[in-house]
Amino acid sequence: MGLNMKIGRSIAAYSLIVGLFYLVFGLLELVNGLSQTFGLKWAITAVNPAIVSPDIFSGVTLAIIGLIFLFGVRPQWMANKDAASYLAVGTLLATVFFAVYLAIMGSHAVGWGVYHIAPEPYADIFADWAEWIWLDDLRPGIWLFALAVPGLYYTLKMWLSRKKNP
Amino acid sequence: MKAKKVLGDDADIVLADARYEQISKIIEASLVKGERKRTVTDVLDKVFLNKYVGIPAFFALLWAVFQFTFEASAPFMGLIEMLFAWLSSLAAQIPNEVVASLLADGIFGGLGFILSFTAPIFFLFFALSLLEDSGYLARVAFVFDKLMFKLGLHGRSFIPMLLGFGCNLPAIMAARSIEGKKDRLITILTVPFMSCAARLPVYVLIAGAFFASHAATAVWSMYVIGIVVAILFALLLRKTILKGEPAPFIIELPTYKMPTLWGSVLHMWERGVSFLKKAGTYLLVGAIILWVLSVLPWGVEAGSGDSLIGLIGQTLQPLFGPLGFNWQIVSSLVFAFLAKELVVESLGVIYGVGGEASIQAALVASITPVSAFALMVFTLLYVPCLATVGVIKKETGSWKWTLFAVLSEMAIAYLGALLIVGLGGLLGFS
Repeated sequence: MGLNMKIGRSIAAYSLIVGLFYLVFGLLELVNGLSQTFGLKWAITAVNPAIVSPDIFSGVTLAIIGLIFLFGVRPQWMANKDAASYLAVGTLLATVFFAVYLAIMGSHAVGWGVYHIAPEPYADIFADWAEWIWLDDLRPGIWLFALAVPGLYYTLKMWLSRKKNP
Repeated sequence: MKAKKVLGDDADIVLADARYEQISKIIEASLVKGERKRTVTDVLDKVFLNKYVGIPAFFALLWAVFQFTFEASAPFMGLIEMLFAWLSSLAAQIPNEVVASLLADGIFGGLGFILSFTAPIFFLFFALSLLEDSGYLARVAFVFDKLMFKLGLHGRSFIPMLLGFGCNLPAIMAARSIEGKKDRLITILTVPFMSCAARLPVYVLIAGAFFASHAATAVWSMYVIGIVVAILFALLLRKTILKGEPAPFIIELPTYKMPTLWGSVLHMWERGVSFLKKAGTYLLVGAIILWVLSVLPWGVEAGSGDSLIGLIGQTLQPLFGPLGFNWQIVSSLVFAFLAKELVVESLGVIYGVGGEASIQAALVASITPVSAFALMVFTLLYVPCLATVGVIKKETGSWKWTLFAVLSEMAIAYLGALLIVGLGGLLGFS
C-alpha cells in the first residue's frame, strides 16, 4: 500500500481526466497533421487548425503523455505503491513540453521584435516573424498544461518531502 | 566453450548468479527489513525504465529537444547572420577587389554563414546537458539494453552511441570501455551513424528551406534514422562477419537530480566551444581553400561551373544523378569529407549569395523536396569527417576495418538516399 484509498481514488480520477484530455488533443493534432501533410481524404481536419495545430509528432507526443497518465489510473485506484509514479512522470513530461513551447513562443517574439527594429536590408532576415502573433504559437501543449498544474504541485511536494526525509 | 556448454551460460555469469543467490539467502535469513520509503528515483524509474513506456517517453523527450533546438534558436541564428552580413557589407567596400572578395565571400560569406549555426548547436547541447545532469540520459542505455541485446549489440554500446550525438570522435574512443572485441568493433563501426553536431547545420539549412513548419520534425527524423540504421547495421554485422552473443550488461544508475541552470550552461559551453575552436581553425582554412577553388582559374565567375570547384562537382555529378543532386551539392559533399559543416560553408561560397534565406532559395530552385530529404539522409550516413576515419584506424588498429567502415558508410548512405528518392516517387512526392 502506498496511499490511503480515498487519496488514491481522487488521484486516479484526476489522472483519468488529464490523461483523456492529452490523449484526445494529441490524436486531434495527429489527424490534423496527417490531413495537412499527406492530403489524406479520410483524415479530415478535425478541429480548426488555429486551435489544434496540425502536427503529427507533436500529436504523438501529447498522446504518449496522455497514455502515461492513463496507465497510472489503475494503480492509483488500488492505492498501491506505484500510484505516484505515472502521475509524476506524466506531469514531468507535460511540464517539459510546456516549457519548450513557451521558449519557442518567447524566441519567436524576439524575431518579431528584431524585424520591427532592424534597419532595412537586415530586417529581411527576420521576415518569417513579420506577421507573428502570440496566438500562432499557442499550442495544445501550452494550454493543456493548466490541467497538469495540480499534478505538478503534488509531484514537487513529494520530491521536496522525500529530499528532506529520504 | 566446454564450460559454457555444460553450465548453459558463461562460467563468470553462473558463478556470479550463484554468489548473489547465496548472499540473498544469508541476508533473508538474518535481516528483518522495515518498509523502505520509496525515493524519487524509485518513483520516476517505475515509468522511465518501464519496458512499454520507457522507449516512447525517450523519443518524446528527444523530439522536445529538437523542437527546442530548431524552433527556439532560429531568431538567434538570424542575429548572428545579421552581424556577418553587416561585416560582409563593410568588407565589400575595400578597394582591392581580391581582398574584398576573400573577406566578403570567403570569410564572412562562408565561415560567417557556418558560425550562424552556433545558436542551434549551443541550444542542442544545453538541452542534452539538462537531460544528462538530471540523471535521465544514463537510463536510456538501460531502457534500450533488451532491444539492443536482441539485435546483437552490447547494452554498453548505447553510451558511445549517445555520445555520438555530440561528436563521433570521443564516442568511438568511449567504445574502449566495452570488453568483448567483437562488441567493441561493432560499436566503433556503428557510432558514425549517430548524428553529430557537425551535421546539424546541414539539416537546419535544408529542413528550413523545404519543410517549413515541419522542419524540427525533419531534423528529429535524422536522429531517429541514425539510431535505426546503426541498430540494423549492427544486426547485419552480428549475423554475418562478427558472429557471436554480446556480453551481459551491468550498469549502475545514478539517482535523479534537479539540474541547475548554471551547471547545464557550463556543460553546454564546454561542448559548444569545440565547435567555435573548429570554426577558428579547420573551417577558416576550409573557407579560404573553398574560396580559392571557387575563383580559380582567374577571371571565371566565382563559384560557377567553370571554376575548379565547378569542375570537381561536374565530374562526379553523374554518380549522384539518380539522387537528384546537382553539381553544386556534389561539390559540397566532396569537401564535407573533411568536416560535415563544409557542406553548408561550400554551398555559401558556390551559390555566392548572402545569408541563409538566399541560399535556401537557391537550393529550393535547384532540387526537389524528396532529393532534399535524400541529401539530409546522405549527409547523416556517409563518413562523418576525416578525423573520424583516423580515430577508427587508431581504435581498431587495422586498415582493413577502417576501409570497411568508410566503404560501408558510403554504400549505406547512397542506398539510403536512393531508397528515399524511390519511396518518395512511389508515394507521389516530387
